[in-house]
Amino acid sequence: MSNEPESTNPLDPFETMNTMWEANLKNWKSMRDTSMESWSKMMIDMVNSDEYSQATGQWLDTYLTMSQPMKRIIDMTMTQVLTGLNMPMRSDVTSLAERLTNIEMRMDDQDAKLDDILHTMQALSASNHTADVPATTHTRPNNGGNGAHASGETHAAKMKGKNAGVSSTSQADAAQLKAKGEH
Amino acid sequence: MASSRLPSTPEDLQSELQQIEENYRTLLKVTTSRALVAQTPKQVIWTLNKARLYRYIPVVPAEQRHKVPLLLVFALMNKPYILDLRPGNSFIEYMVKQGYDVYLLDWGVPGLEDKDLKFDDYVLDYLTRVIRKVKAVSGSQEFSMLGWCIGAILTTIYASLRPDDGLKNLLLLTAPLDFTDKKAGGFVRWVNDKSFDPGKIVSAFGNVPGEMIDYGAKALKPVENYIGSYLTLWDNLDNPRIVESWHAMNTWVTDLIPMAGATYLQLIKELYQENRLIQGKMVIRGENVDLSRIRANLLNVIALGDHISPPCQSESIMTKVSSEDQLLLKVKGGHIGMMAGSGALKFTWPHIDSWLSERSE
Repeated sequence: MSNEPESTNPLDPFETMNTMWEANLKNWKSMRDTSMESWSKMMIDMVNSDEYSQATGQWLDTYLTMSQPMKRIIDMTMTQVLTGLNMPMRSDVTSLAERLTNIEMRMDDQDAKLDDILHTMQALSASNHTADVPATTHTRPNNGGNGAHASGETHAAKMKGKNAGVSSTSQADAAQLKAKGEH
Repeated sequence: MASSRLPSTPEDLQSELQQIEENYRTLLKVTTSRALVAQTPKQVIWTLNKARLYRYIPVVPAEQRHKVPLLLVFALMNKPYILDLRPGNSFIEYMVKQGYDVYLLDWGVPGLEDKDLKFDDYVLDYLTRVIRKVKAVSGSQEFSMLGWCIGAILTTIYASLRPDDGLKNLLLLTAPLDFTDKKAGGFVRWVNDKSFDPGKIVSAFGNVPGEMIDYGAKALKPVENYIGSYLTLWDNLDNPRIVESWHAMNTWVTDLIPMAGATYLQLIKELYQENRLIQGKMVIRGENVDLSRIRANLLNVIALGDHISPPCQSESIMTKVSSEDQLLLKVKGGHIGMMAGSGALKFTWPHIDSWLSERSE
């Protein structure tokens, strides 16, 4: 592979034009990038100045102050029109969406409790299985049986506790939900 | 862009015209269409209101995977697929390949009915449930959590309020936590001006429009964002690699979402103006957010060229937490470029992986 430049004919007008064009393009790009860089620095300094903060804050404040009366009129008119047409308003729809989210949250809580119950049952069946295996081979089979029984009792107690928890939480949830709905 | 040589023959001219036409088509396509993004295979495993929790399909066999799952929490005002921008330039794809069980929380697009959501709700109603689900699905009682930008605020608050919940590793990326320096960066200056009233914005709009937040972010570097970005595209229209990358990033940048009004108010008043979090004065549903309660291993990643969350806003948390294992990592790049730019694969992701892999067994 050769790194030597291609031979050019200085008498070829196209070649000369090309060389000039390339050089101009390169210069223009370099000039553009330099000016962009300095322009960028200047703008960054400007937006980081207290004057800019003040101007933006005041502009925003004016815009919001001016637009509010118009917005209030539109809102009021829409409320009257929709009520007259017996149609739900935006506030009705958003309130419904909020209640749906609350229901979703309660469902998620129930889902988590179900997960816990399933895990407990899996752990129990695993412990029963391990307890049963030595019972057939162990020199003291009664221990295995007792162990399983004890474990079963513990699980039953746990389940009772959990169910009680689910039930009481569900009642509390229902009451809370009802209260929110009424509210 | 097109050839820098003038056409000297009719064939050259024809080829040049074809190239111009091709470039015009490319320009039209990338500025008016959406790129294919977020392509790493995943499944939705939990939903609540607008929020979704994704689990990415593992590609590494279970026995070779890291035991501690990784939960990614992105900011509230942009879509989280910046973490999975496109194949070959996706943090999620990278981490899945490194053997992590990766989960991503997508907060969704808040509607008007969500205008009253606060940090309190995001942390205690959403994040706690998400973590419960991650634990249930992964079967691990320990987990790692990565928060980026506002996501880092949420994860920091969570780590402080629930230090015994199994959080093993906390990773913060460009976390805006300390607003002591009121002259550091544009945002903190703008919102601390006496004429700036966030309450007025919220009462006017309900949720803060995405366009307004976008303007704020872009106005910090106006020339780069409004002109420079398009010039880069123009100069590289004949380079498919750069064009694809630009297209994907432009898709994300223009995919705007609003921010819940109450959260915005809390962010501006309690954090940017009153600096309550770092001072230990922030209260979430009656609980004080005391950063010294954070004991999880901490990796704090700061972007040296970050103009949105300047380094001084992220550094000081290192002295506030009780974590014995902590590392402050400073990397090249800006607020987004650090994780999604062309250098991320070289300068950021491998550091995160090497720190986390040692602590995920």
